[in-house]
Amino acid sequence: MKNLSFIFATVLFFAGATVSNAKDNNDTSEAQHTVAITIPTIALVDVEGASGEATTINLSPDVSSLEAGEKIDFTSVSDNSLWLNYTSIISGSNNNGNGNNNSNERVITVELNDASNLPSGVEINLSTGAVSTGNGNKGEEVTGTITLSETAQNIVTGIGSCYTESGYQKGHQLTYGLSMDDASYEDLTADSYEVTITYTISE
Amino acid sequence: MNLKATIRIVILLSWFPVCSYSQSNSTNHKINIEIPEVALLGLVSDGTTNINLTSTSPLEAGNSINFADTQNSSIWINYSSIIAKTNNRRKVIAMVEGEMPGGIRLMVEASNVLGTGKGKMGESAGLVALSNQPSDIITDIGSCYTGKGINNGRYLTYKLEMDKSTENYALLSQAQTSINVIYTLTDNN
Repeated sequence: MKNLSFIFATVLFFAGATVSNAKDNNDTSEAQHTVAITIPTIALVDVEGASGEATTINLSPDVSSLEAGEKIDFTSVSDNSLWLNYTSIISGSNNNGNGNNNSNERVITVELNDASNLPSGVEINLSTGAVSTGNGNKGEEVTGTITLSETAQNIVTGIGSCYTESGYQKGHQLTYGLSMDDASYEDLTADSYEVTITYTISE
Repeated sequence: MNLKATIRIVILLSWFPVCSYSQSNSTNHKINIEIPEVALLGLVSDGTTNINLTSTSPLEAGNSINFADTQNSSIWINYSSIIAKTNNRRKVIAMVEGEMPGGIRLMVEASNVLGTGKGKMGESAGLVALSNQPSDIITDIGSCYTGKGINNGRYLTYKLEMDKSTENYALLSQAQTSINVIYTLTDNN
């Protein structure tokens, strides 16, 4: 019964349309119609290495040339194989990167998910390189080195509508390092440790 | 009908990771940190780590020869250690390789820790007589480093001690003897 009503309504609709078209005698040498373009807001972030999406990187101190009496050198541990890619479309008119703040501008934050899994006394540092690929208002990276923690910290701010391009050597280069508080040296034990780093672009 | 349902589920499942991958405002990756076990020990001094211990002769007939002033503290012991479990402990043992002269005992004592080291550097076992069997010199070592070079770690004081028992004093004879002392950083067992 419902089906019948639907068919009936559909037939009536088209019949009406045909009638109204038939009545339109206003054609001239010009015609116009509206094109509606919808740009969605976009906020995408990714971390890419040489072989695609980042999985696990190793930050392990080299003890092969350690001499008796020397401490493990954590400061020489470094990895710069990963790149931060993002794409953003923000709402609002002032997104042209002219220095005026737009409250819709985005930030990218980084956080360490499981700090208790780190070796005792060891911290992970991160520095974010400048971006030279892509287009638009890509924002500003936080200069210098930050120590990662479970609290989200900004690494790129003032992001408007932009893209960095996608993949290795696109966007911001991420350089990770380690540091060690020697006061905790006696609690350092040999083992394999794994932590997760999360990047988030605000929406 | 069942087949259709199956197909629909398969399609949904295969779509899901694509959707979540391409639409994420968040991403993560893992960092792996390998801390290897370390057990390194070295002996250092200003010059050579060969030392001479010479007794002084008595000035008066009837006195025994004198070893009291015969000592040497020129050798330093440096070590680095990373243990696998917090409660694991290591120790430094020493033993003599070669034949000690009869009637004499070679003694060694590790000093307190000096220098730039950090961590669980253990305790000196005090004045210890060396023999062909391993003797504990430093115990209760955990994860630590002593610093490298002289004035770091512990200095080793060697002394000669005469065995005054009649039987062993009788074994003393004029001779120059050379022996090796071997140090090892080892796990407590």
